[in-house]
Amino acid sequence: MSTLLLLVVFLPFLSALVLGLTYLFDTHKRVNEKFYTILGVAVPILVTILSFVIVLDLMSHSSTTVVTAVAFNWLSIDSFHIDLAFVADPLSAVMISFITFIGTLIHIYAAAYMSSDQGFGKFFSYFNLFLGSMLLLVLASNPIIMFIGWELVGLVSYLLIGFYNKEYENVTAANKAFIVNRVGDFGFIIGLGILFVAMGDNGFTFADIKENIYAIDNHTLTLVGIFLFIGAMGKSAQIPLYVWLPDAMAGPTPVSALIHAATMVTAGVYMVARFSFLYNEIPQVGEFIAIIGVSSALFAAIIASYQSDIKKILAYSTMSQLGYMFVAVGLGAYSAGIFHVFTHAFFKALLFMGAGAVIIALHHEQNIFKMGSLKKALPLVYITMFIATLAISGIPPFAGFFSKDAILNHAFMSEHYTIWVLGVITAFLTAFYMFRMLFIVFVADMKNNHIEHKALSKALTYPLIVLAIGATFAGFLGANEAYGGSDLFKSFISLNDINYSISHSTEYMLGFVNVLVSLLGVTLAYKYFRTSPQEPLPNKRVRTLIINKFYVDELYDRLFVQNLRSLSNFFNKTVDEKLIDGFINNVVHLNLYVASKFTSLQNGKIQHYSIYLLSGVSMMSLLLIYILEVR
Amino acid sequence: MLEHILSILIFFPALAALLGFVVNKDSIRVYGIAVAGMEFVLALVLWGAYDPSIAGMQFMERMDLIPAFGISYLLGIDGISLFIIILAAFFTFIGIATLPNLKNIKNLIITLLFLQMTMVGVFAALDAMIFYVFWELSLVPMLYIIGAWGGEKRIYASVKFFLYTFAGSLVMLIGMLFMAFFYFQATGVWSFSILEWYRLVLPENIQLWLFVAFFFGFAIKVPMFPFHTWLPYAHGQAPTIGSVILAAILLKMGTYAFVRFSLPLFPDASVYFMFPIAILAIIMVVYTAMVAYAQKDIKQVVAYSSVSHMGIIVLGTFALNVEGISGAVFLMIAHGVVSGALFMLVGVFYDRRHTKLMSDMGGLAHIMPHYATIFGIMMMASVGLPLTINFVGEFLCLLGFYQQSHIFTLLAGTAIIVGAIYMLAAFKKVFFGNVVHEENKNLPDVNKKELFGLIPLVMIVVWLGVYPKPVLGPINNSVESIVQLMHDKAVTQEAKSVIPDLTKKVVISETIIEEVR
Repeated sequence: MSTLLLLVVFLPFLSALVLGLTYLFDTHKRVNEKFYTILGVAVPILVTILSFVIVLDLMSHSSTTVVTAVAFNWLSIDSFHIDLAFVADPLSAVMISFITFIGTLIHIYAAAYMSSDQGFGKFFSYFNLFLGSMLLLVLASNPIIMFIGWELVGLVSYLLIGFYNKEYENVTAANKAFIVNRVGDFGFIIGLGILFVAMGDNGFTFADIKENIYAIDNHTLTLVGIFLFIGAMGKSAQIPLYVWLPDAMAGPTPVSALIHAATMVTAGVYMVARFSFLYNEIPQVGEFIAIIGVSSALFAAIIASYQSDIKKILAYSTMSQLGYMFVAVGLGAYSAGIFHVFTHAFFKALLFMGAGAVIIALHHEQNIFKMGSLKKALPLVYITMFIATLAISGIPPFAGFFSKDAILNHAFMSEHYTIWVLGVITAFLTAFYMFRMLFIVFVADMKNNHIEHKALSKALTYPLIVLAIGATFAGFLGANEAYGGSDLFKSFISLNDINYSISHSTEYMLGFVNVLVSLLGVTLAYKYFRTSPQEPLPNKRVRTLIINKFYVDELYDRLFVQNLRSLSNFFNKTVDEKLIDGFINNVVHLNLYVASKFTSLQNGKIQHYSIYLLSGVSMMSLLLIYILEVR
Repeated sequence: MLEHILSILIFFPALAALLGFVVNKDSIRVYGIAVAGMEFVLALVLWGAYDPSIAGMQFMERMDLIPAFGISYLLGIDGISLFIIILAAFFTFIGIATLPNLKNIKNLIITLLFLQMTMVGVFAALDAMIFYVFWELSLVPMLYIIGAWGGEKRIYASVKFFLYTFAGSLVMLIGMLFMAFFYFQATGVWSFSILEWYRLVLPENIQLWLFVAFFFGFAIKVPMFPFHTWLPYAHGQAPTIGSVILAAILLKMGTYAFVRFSLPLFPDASVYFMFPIAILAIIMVVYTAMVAYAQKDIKQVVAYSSVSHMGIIVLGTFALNVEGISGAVFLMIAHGVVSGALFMLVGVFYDRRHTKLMSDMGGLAHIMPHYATIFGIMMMASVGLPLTINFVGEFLCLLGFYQQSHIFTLLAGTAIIVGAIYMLAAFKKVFFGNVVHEENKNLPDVNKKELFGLIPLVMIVVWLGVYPKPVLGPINNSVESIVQLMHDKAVTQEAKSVIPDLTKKVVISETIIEEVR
């Protein structure tokens, strides 16, 4: 098993290397796309199979069994030892199984989406690297190795977002993603540093930390918890570090699917769940996380309701759904949070791939108001996207219902009523903006729609079907007793959840509320956008505010970017050149000046010299008189 | 041969350089490559023969020079100096091998070989006078390289470089003389042997004065803020090879000397000055990173980023624990490889277009994809991405200083962010977007000669990032013994508590000490 585990991590890295080198040395473009496709897709498939084998193996044993694998000792300084080691426990095993599975589907899809692109080989090299980095992050046995994966994911997202790097805008978006993530990473590494000092010589694997967590005082743990969460804010696009996510749509659509469904953004949620033993000790930080989560969820949902770019709507919806996940993990419902990560992966991948199919069919049109009545032209895409929209809106029996329901119930039962109410409002908005998008793109009759449709290849559509099946049925894995399930998911990943007993009647009541608000959202969307789309909000000022995303980008630009730039220029032009170097040069000039004065003393004129002599002698005499006190 | 390998490493290039005067101008390049290559092989032999389990000095050589004053020709290396010597040999080798066609190339190669002698000499010397002699001698070839092959303001830059560093070294020399005098007072014998000095326990107030004297010499060399202003001129005017050697090796003399002299000789003063120096280091890290962001010339960006990273090395050194110092020494290697490579990369474009302004570039990724890839890897290493060589060092430095102060480390850590900002901004300007300059459209990608230098560097960056142990292990061993020595020697209670006690027996050197006693 441990060999398999090592293979899971290393195979994608290896194939990324091979693909990258082949691409780089193939300067005359002789290598066929087939080569890249076969290698680039075969490895994810293989890794998926291996992951499933590992999950099945874990399932067949008791819940405490884990698979471990040590590659080699990475760092060994003084008493500080870090192994490049991996652990597959139920939590990470679940993560890798759906990451690899959905990742593979996206790879297959991408092979069709990117075909005949100049950088096809490069793309697949990055894609495999992305998968590998995410697996490294998830399987790491200690936080340092996790951080390596954490940063590599940031790197690959930078490479992929800026994939079409002839456009400056794309590169700017890529830089933004990298830098904002860096801010988060900075928090993460500070948190690790504090934790490391607090741990002393007790080792630094997750297991060691879990064992010694009681020895660390609460104040330190609070700091650690907050700083680690700053890392999660960056990766998982939460307020205030979410700004990179909408811009990240600059990358090709499969990249968005991969970032939003299988990799990257889920890393933050996973990290909190991985540190569940730590966050259980500091419920006040957990509450803070939940508040950030629910604010992000609502904030993103409001913005999503007024976007016109299909990919941006989906981007904000991801941020919103991630907010739910943070509500869950913040309030101690770790398995519910991970379960939502799991179901979300299916329908979000499906939505992005569907959107990609639409974009391809319409020759790279992304504005939903230039689409419309695509139902007939793209029936398969329509049906699968419909399913995904139902799932994300939380309509039973689709996957999103069960996971979202579990989160909202937990918020309600832990007596965080404000969070619950905001969560429910978000659920309403989610149904509204998702169906708004669906109706405008597929149903509404648009007058300006005369675009030719391109036929879609099978590789573009078949993955949609697989994902649609997942989006329909994945929820049953985590359905609780009230809905006739047996909490399979929760009992398998067995995290340190805080549990509340909840009666079936309350359960049904809360579930009913969720479904009701969702249906309300659907109805509203139907009313406004079913036939001829028009925005419902009358007040123009509020509308511009929302359409411009509350001017947060502009604010950040003014606050950070411009200040940094002017401060840098000030340092460069004034402090460095004038002040510091000026001082040094002045010392030299002073030296020269004094020297020039002394030079003029030695001018070879005898009368001058005799004056020096005379004044010297008189000075000395005066001094002597003074010293000897001759009066 | 092994017992004299250090002497051979020092004087072989110098002798070869003397012989080089009679070599024909057309074959001097081959001759230079052969000599530097042999020197590099010798350095590898040294590594092969080095026993990583011994923490103390190895390959020691000793010969009395001025017995009356205890000045002797004393050489030896430990895990701290070993890799810098290998790095020096490596960079001289690939530096000569990738030299473009310049005028007077014969003189340049001979100068480089002389420079190599002084570099190896500094890192192998265990006698303060020998150290000082090589330290000062290293200025001369560099002065000549900048002054003869530099850009427009080369004379100004080279004179500034020389005077500034020379002024600092003189203060250091006075410190050394006083140190020897105190040793004489305590023992009745003169000695300039560093290993002998290690045994001397000085009262705190004397330590403070001597520390400051040494500090000036080292800090200007590093160069630490606010003594850094000679460096941008030197880099700006120096030819590629000069910048490469300067950034990769010469600057390391300063940080190396901190570890070799300041810490073990003056443990109490090191503790006393820990926070003032840390503050300087942090200012240096953040300030120069921001100055780098304001540059328009790609070489200046690299130069300031190089200074910024040196700040992390200083910070790690003054963490005064094993993590910090080992990280700092490792980062010296890492910084050498990465900033050396970046200067070489800047040189690649300069050779083609004779400009270093970023506004003259743009879209190069589409014309020179290999160049862009290698530059990208080096940029990511410079930014400190995990699994590249820099991350290991930076991470350990920060981790080390964490144990002294959270807030200072946090401030220094902001360089993680600013570093990414200026590097990505520069990379964007140089490589992305459309090709706007007509002259750039037909530029050839990196050629075989350039790849010969760059590919090994890429491989080192990734190899030591993924698996740092072969280098980190010996470093760790030697650093542990220095930290233990500091702990044992410290006189104040405060210093004893700050410097960790590793409960190890300190072995300074295996053989020589007994003879001297």
